[in-house]
Order: sequence, then C-alpha cells, then structure tokens
Amino acid sequence: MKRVLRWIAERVPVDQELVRKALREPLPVHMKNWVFCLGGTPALLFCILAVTGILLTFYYVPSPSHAYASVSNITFKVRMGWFIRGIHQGASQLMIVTVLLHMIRVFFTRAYRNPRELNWMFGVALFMITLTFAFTGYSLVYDQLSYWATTIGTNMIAAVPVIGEPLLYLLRGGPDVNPNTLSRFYDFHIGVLPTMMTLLIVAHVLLVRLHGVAPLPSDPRRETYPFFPDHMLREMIVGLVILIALVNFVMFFPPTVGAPATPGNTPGHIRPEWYFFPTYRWLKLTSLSVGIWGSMLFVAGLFLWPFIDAILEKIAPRRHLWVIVGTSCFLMTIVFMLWEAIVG
Amino acid sequence: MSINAQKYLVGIMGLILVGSVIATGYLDTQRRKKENVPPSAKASASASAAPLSRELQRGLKIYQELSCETCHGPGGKGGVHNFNAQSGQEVPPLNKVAEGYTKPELIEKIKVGVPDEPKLDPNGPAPPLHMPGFKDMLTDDQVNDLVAYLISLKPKGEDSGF
Repeated sequence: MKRVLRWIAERVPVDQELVRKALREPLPVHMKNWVFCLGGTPALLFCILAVTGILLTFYYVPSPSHAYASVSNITFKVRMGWFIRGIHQGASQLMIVTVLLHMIRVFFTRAYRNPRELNWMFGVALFMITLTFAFTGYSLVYDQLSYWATTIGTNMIAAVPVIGEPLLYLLRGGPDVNPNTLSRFYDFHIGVLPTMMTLLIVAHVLLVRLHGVAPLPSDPRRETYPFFPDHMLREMIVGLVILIALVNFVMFFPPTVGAPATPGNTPGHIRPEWYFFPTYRWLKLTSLSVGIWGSMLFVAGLFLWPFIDAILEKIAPRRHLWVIVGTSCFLMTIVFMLWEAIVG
Repeated sequence: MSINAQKYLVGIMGLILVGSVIATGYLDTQRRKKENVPPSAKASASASAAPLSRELQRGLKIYQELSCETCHGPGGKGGVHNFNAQSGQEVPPLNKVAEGYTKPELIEKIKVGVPDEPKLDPNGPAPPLHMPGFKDMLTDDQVNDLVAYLISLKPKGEDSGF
C-alpha cells in the first residue's frame, strides 16, 4: 500500500504536508453535536443520485411516446430497475429534507453572519436547485400526475413579472406543454442542473474551508478536534443510517407508476409533491399575482437574510428578532404543509 | 463515543448496508422467477412438466425483447390503463388472443399495429397508448414464432369445450 501511495505521490507532486493539514483541519468542539453533521449528507445523497441517475438513463427514453413505457420498463422489467429507481426517488426526497435541516441549523446558529454571507447565498441557491431537480425529475415519469404537475408548475412561471413569459417559452419549448418540453426538462435534469450543483457544492465547501467553521457564540469552549478521522466518522455514521433506511424502505415499498399521461384529460385532483405543499397552499390562499410576488419576496428574503439580519440587529439589538422571524417562517411552512396534506 | 467505537459502528453499519443490498438482489431474483414464467409454461409444467418448445422459446424471447409486457402486462394478462380506449380503457390482454383472432389476423396485427386506437368516447381525447407496427423489425419467421407464443398464452383448462 505504501509503495502505491509513494508511486502516486511521485506522479502527483502535491505537498503531502498540505494534504495532511487540510484533512486534519481543527474543528471547534461544538461540531461533535450530531446536529452539526448534516452538511455532508446532501453531498453524499447527490453522489448517489448521480450514480443511480446515470443507470436510469441507460433505459429511460425522453420522448412523449416512449417515456411512460420506458419508466414502466425500468420499474417492472429491468433487473433491479425498481430498486435503482426507488433509490433515486427516495434519495431526491431525502436530499430536500437534509438540505432543509442543514439550513435550519445554520439559520438558528446564525452561522451565516459576516463574513459568511456569500456562503449562505450559495446554500440557498443549492436548495433552489435541489427543488428544481425534484420538479424536473418528477415530470420525466410522464404519468398523469407528473404531466399535470408539470403543466401547472410551468403555468405558474408565466405569472413571474417581466421574465415569466420568455422563461416559460424556454422551459416548454412552446406556449404549451408539448413534445419539446420533455426533452428540455430532461436536458435540464441531467445536464444543466448537475453542472450548476457541482460547481456550487465545490464553491460552498471551499468557502467553508477558507473561512473555517463558524463559531457558536453560546459555546465558550476553545478545544478543537480533527476533521479526519473524527468528524468524518460522524458524517459517515449519519450517511450510513440514512442509506440503510433508504435501501430497506425501497425494498419493502418499491416504486410504481400511475396511469399514463393523457394531455386532453385533466385529473380531478392534482397536487404537487409534498415539498411544494407550502407554496401550493399559499398560492391557493391568494390570487396568482399576489401568490407569485409573495413567493418571490420570500425567496429574495431568504437569499438576503444575512444582510436583513444585520440591519435588524442594528435597529433592535439583543431582541433576538432572527429567532422570531425564523420561528414564524418555520411554523408557517409546517402549518401550510400540514394544511395541504390533510385538507388538500 | 470513542473513535474506536465509531470505527466499529461504521464497519457494522457498512455490513448491514451491503447485506440489505444483497437481500434486495435476492428479492428481485425471487420476484423475477415468480413473474417471468409465462402462464403457458406454468400450465404445461403442472400438467406434463414439458418445457417450452424451441418455437415458443423464440417467441417468448421476441415478446420480451419488444417490451410487449410493458403495455400488455406480465404474461400478457393486461391491466395497463389506457384512458378512453374502447377496450375497457385498458390495453387488451394477450392471453386470450387465440379465441378472438385467426393466425393470419394476428400476423397482420403484429405487422401493422393499431395506429388509431378506437376511442370509447368519440369526442374525448385519443388514448395515449397504441399498438405500434413491427413489420420493419421482425422477419416473417419471427412473427410466426411470436404468434405461436401468443396463442400458447391461452390459460389451460379454460377452453370453451368445443
């Protein structure tokens, strides 16, 4: 083993001391808390999604006449196809959950403050890309629900001021959902979005390493522990728990497909996937333009939160306004989600 | 938790993960064994334990390669939804084609397909699934093998008695 490592080291002349230093980067001791081990999980899930996604492309055909049949083929006929599709589907949903949990942790520990504002913005962009991934992936199934979710989802884009119409045309490849739409969504799903996500993950991790982990103001301890192997092991444990749960879930609840997409026949009850429930409920409560403006303001507020928080801190120091705002938004999201899930 | 304990935990969990994936593979093999055997083979196995003839084996292979199962269901039993199709809003099953078609009719159906699936409601939308024609993909011998296989799908013991 040592000979192999030496062989590689001779051919890749990187300063070994630098690598060792990077791997053993000292982390503040509060990172030992399991809540702080969620950052690596979305990255692990992204790798799983990439591998299973590549395997799915071997059999998936992105054309309206073959998409549904190819998904059925993967699910019911291809050896282990149901398993690969189930893992892909499950990992995408878990990725949304883990990114959200990571963001909630960062928010409530205020790890986004000066000089880490840009990294928070990268994080929000990664969350948005994760949601777009889920939306475009769901559309590719081309069964009734996914087809109509695509139609309604893209309809909402048209209501976005100024760029709505051209953006809608760009996504659909025409004024309505048509054969071009599926191939465009496929291109976004397997080309544009993975590239954007990879670049943003690299930038996100790079900034974390350059700034170091944000200190926890409520924890006065000054002790540190190394990233490798100590923190790495914790991240691996979290990742393995999630993977074992995912594999067993797919084993007992294999994926299925609904009725094939029928463009002329709108089903009686259309609902997006659970992660869009809060937005969907919000849009149901308001007019379309108010709903879209409200959603855009919410996303803009999320992006710019580090700067908003700094202003609030100046206006009302020590009032913990960030806790009030964060808790209100969190509760509102949960209420909207449950409301839509239960009442529909 | 000490570092050594964490290392052991990672090792054990890794084994559980590998075990779960192997169990999934086993489950998949069992499912495939159960579902992939055509009804004719099951029936003949129970009746006389006779294996499929070469002609039927070739027909089964073509049936699988063309993904007929995707629309006509495992073993040609049907059950796949096809909105507004005259055939009960489902893709028709194939296991009883022997009763409804002659051999030349079946050959014609496989070669030409059903480009315009008849609508249940004439004012409604066209059914999303329709039978494609395979005349450019199959030789006459292959079509004959496939027809022989489709006729063999007829469940044994369900003859009308004539």
